[in-house]
Amino acid sequence: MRSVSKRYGKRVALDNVSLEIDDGEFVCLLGPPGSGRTTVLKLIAGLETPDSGEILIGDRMVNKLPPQERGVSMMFESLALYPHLDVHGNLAFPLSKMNLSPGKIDENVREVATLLRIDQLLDRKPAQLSGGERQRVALGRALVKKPRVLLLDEPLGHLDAKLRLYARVEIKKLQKQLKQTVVMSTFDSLDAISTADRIALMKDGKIAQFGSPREIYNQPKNIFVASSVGSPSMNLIKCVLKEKDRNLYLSVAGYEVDCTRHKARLSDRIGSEVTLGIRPSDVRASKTPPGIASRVFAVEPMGYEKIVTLKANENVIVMKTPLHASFAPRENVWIQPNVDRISLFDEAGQSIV
Amino acid sequence: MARVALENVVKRFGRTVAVDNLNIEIGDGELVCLLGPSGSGKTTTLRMIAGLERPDEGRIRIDERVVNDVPPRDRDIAMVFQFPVIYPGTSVRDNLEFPLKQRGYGDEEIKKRVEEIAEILKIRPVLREAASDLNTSERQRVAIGRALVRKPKALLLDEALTNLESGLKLMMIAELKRLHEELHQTMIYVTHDQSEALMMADRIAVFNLGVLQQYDTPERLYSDPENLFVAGFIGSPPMNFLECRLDAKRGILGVRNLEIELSCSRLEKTPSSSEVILGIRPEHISVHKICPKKDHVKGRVDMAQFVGDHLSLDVELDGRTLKVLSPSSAEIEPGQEICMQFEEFHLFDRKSEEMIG
Repeated sequence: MRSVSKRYGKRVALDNVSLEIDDGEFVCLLGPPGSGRTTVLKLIAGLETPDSGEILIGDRMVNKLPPQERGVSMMFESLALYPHLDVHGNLAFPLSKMNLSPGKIDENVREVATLLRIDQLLDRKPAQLSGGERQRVALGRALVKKPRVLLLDEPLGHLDAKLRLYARVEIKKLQKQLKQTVVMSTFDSLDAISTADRIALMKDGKIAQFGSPREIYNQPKNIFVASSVGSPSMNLIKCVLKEKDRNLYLSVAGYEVDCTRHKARLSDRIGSEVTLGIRPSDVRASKTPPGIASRVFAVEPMGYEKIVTLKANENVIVMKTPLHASFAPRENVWIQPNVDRISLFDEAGQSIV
Repeated sequence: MARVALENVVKRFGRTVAVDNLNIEIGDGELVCLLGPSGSGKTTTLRMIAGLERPDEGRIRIDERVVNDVPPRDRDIAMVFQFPVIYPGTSVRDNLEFPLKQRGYGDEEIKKRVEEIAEILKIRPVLREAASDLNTSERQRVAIGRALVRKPKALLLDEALTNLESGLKLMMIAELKRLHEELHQTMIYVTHDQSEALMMADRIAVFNLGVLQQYDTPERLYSDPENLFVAGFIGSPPMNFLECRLDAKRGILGVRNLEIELSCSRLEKTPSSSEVILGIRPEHISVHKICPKKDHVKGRVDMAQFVGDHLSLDVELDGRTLKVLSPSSAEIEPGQEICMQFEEFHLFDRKSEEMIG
């Protein structure tokens, strides 16, 4: 996409977006509802036309090309299987207008059914399938035409937590096996970071950051990106950058977090307010000072780790600890952030460290 | 507030035993989750406590009183369902007042209690609004408020948060826990979602096929599962299971090309045969690019997914897939050969499926 904009009436759905997806790449469009993710999919599919800018598939400009000539398939969250057709019928449907012999259609259907391990279910109706099986049929229907680009609109949205875990692995494996170019839209950050080669994180019709999951997670460009990935989300604490004896520190609830090591990037900001970002997994607490004096508010076991919510004055700080760490509500503890892994943002929310 | 106890309770539907000789006690002011897959008996148990089903055998007590023959409305128990029932065409205040009016409370008392519960649930600003205009979380709060306003002996929740979107669900879980702490209200929560139960409960009762498998704290269920079912049901990604041979005399466990030396104290029970099942959690498998001298198994990485703090790996081992969680600082790519060491593991008897060590 080159400088693509799209308006619906007065609302700007996409604002001068440029995005290049490589052949065989798996890209996730991540963002809250209304951020423009689905508009991007619809523009690629040809279900919408851009107001300005160009869309290319391969080297061909497709702005004026109707959907069926783009070599693109789209799978929707609703799955939209035909209830009166069996699995074979559903899979064969996209091929019916392609002028293929019945033998060839059957061959393609069986090939995709085997690939998705639904070849035993070909004579069942959608109502007789489990959630996961229906999902695979819908995916098969999108793949049967061997599209150049596969578009997935929140394909995992309706699956429960356990099934979702498997579906993520399945989709990623399949994509790698077929070297299929995939663009997937989701609001779930874990869907995105666990499947995509690159993530385009969207907000208000713009791309806030485009990068690998590790880049997005470890080097967020701004506060929006930082708080969009990771669960529980990154702790964000407002504090003032101060200098004492040539050392730089951040004052948090009376404790001085040393950040002299980042001096080169911070020296012109002394005295200004910054936001300190720490992932819950980079927070450590001990039962004795030094550290940010705080009190345990809640402890929630989550399997192999515990989520501990701490209060330091007016700040709420969330910490991840191993399951065997013992913290009790109302206990006093002292927080030591891992200074090697902190992020700092300026007053406009842009990353400075 | 009250204690709830089930003693030798059996419930059959036709020839199906829905609940099989259940003994469980929920302490006064405790938050207990009944957890299990569908058809495990958890909902039937909840419905028996509510009085919506009658046990075929055994006794149900609320405090000291046996309630088998007490109709639901006289048990002083409140229930919240998966889809909040809100009376249409009424205001939030009407909804909260209804259970009190129905029981003939005076106007003063009604006003006081409604204000109090609205404050706790943070729905005071919407008291006058039409209940049908509320968003999902507000609706569920109103439903919980309506259940709590008459200060029932126990609050029963049937998958009450299951339908909420994940962010909202986390928020409501925190709310419920806060409510529970503030009010010291006995709560029994039914769910099929183990992560919900782990986060919320003081104790969890795990059900399968009508039988109570284990009743314990979240930590103990996770680290000391009593049998194969509990081990596999609790935790995400779930525990890996491998069939292996145990040479109890020499204290050696054979897993594929790996021989693990066992100290004898490692076994809590004697297995019925040398065929045992090794259970190992994904985070207890350490991954090495260079093989350590001893005690390792080799595998090939099939899939590597970055999940934030961790790298989630699918590792192929003799045609089986092991789930492994590694620190995300590790650079591991699909196709790579790696060595794995089992840091902590459990053993289960193949036949009885009980944990033996």
